[in-house]
Amino acid sequence: MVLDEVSLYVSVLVCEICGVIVLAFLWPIHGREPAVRYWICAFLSYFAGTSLLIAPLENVTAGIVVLRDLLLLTANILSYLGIVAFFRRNPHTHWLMLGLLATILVIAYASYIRDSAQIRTIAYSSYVLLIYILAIYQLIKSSLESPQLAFTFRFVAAIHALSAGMLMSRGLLAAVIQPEYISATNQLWAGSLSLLLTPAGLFLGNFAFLLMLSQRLKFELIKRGHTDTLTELLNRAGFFEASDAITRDSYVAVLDFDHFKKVNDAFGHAAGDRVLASFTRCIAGVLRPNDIVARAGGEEFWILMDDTDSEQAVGIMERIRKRVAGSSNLYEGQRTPVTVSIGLCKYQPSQKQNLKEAIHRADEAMFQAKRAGRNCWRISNDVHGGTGKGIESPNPLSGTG
Amino acid sequence: MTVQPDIATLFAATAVLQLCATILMFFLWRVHKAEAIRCWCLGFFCSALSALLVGLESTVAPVYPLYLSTILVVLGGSYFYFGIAKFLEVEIKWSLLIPGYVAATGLIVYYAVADSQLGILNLGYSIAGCIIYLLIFYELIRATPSGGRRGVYRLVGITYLVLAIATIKRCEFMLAHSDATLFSYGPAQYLWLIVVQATTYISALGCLLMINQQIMQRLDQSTTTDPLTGLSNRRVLRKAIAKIVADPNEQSCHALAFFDFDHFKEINDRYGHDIGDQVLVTVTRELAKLIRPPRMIIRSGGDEFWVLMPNTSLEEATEIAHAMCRAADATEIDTNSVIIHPTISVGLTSFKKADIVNGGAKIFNDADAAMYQVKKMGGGTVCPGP
Repeated sequence: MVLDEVSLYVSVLVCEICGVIVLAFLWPIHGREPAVRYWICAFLSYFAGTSLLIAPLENVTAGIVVLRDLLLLTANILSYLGIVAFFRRNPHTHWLMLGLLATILVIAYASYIRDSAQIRTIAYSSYVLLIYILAIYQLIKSSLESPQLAFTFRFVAAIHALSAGMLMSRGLLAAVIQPEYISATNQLWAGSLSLLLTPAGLFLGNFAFLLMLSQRLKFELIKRGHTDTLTELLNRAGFFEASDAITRDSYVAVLDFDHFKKVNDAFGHAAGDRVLASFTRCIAGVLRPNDIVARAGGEEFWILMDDTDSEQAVGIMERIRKRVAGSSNLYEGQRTPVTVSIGLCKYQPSQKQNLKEAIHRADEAMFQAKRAGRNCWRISNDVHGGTGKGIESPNPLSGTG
Repeated sequence: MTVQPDIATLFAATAVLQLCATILMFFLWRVHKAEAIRCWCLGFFCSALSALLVGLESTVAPVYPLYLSTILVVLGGSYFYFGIAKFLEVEIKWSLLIPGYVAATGLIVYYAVADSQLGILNLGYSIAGCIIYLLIFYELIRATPSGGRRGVYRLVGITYLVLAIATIKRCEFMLAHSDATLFSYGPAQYLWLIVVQATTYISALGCLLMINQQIMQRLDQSTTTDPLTGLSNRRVLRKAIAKIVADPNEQSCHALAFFDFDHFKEINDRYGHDIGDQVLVTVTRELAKLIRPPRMIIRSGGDEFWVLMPNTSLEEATEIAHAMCRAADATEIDTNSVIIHPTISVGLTSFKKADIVNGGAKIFNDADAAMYQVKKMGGGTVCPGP
């Protein structure tokens, strides 16, 4: 199958123009994102670089070739800087620039003094390859750090790997193995196949980042739907979502602030909000990284303690109870006394126990604690049905201060 | 150097681009799992397949009936249109689509049976294709995205209008040249292929941008709305109060109501939080019908709500508050075992611009205090002022 190069150039040109049009519409939507600004510049640089190829093939001067290499190099660097900005990482700019300077010197030397396409191609390709490898490294590193977003990062990494592979085959390998092949195609394209794939590069290579943006936006939307705005803890939906990760026997606790309505009435809603927000401070340092905390609404909080036996769970709850009772919530000079009542229940995901059911039992235990005089905890001892009385906390009314 | 370009090469380039669009849409679908994106993905895939078949036709001897690629390209366009309709949440206009399909099928059958010229086959594609492309153009141009930013919608819409025009031009060319093949060179042929490429490029990225814009819009909304009830949150109330402060009119009279549900804690404790949430959602939906902008209901958390009524006298506000109480009373929530009749207690206060000091602490406290007077009397009604 013989491909007509002129038609392919037309195709490339169409894609370039379309790309610029899309950029114009991309700007008002994503323009605030610093990474997107880098990517837009990268596209424009790439656009300029590939446009030089469409110039009549017969009279390509060394100047045009060097300019084209320079533009494509810049495009690659900008695209890499975009990735770094997207992940908010250190770009190591001075190393990049040092490499760029060295590469430019070698290209100039090869083009003007030695007139060697081989040296020029090797210098150009190795530097671009280096940037590709750096970009892939950043993408893979980020995909390991945030597994929820790993999917699109890997997709973009795969596109980079593909581009690197193409570069290797048409640049490095051609230059090293078949030097005469490069000069035969006037140092521009190693055959029309790469020309056929250029629109693909202009499309996927330059816009795949939109997918990363899209997934990050969606993730933020889900996260916001799962977060309580006042305490910045999870909300109920977030709690159930996060609880999927718990597979070992654990304990679930329901904590409810005592006489909260009175705090609200006596000191106003702002004071009440402040008390709730301060709860985050009370649990800080007490819970372990795998434990899940959520504000279930109003003045009620849920805590799921991963891989815990009753003794550990009670120990943790006792510490939280004391901390809350001991915390000083000053509002307009007056001290608002706050305490919590706690209900606990065992949760065994291994036995297909329903979390909602466990929460319901913990809730019942919490009401027993309320009836027992508040500021204490009760533990629901019936894991598999029935209505037990619950184990009493050793020291129900202590620590009120 | 030959000036006349090769049509077959352009078909190949088009196929590559359409495959790329399919890949992009597939991954986008994996991210969002939206039905619309799946339709777009299928659409690009059918078009890519069609272009690939034509590419095969040029190199290998024809191994398939030519009308297969026509059917595929119509199918591709249709899927893209279905995706747009799903994305914009509009009805699919079957009454316009079906005549197009019927005409296309008739002409394809005629072409296959009578073995006539290619122009007939192309006419079939052009009729169905133009109807689809113009429908896409129509839906996108009249779409009003919630954020009001219509740029991308218009861009994709206009691209499809151009594609419809190019399709008609190509059809004219095919009908005029009875000996034309798929690869005969003509400006109309060339133009059509270029427009198809541009349409693929712009519509795939345009769809991605439309999706992103929609998510950003929802993110913006989520900072000002309560996720459960969809009402505005406290941030909106603060802004509205600030707006009254900025208003030069000193003498206009405003009203603020504070209400909460009677015995809500008991509802939650007895029937569970799911039922409690259902009560909030159902009742506030009814109440929202009584409060029209610029008046607004705000959920400040739990079962507590504020109603801000700018430029409303205390008498008017009291009337509205009584209507709210009645509406809440009339609402029934079925819990399977019992039917809950929730009631609300409303406290009102009337204020002028000068009363707003310290962010409005005084007026909030006044409304709060009025509400507690209602609570003391047993709830379920209105107290016009502390």
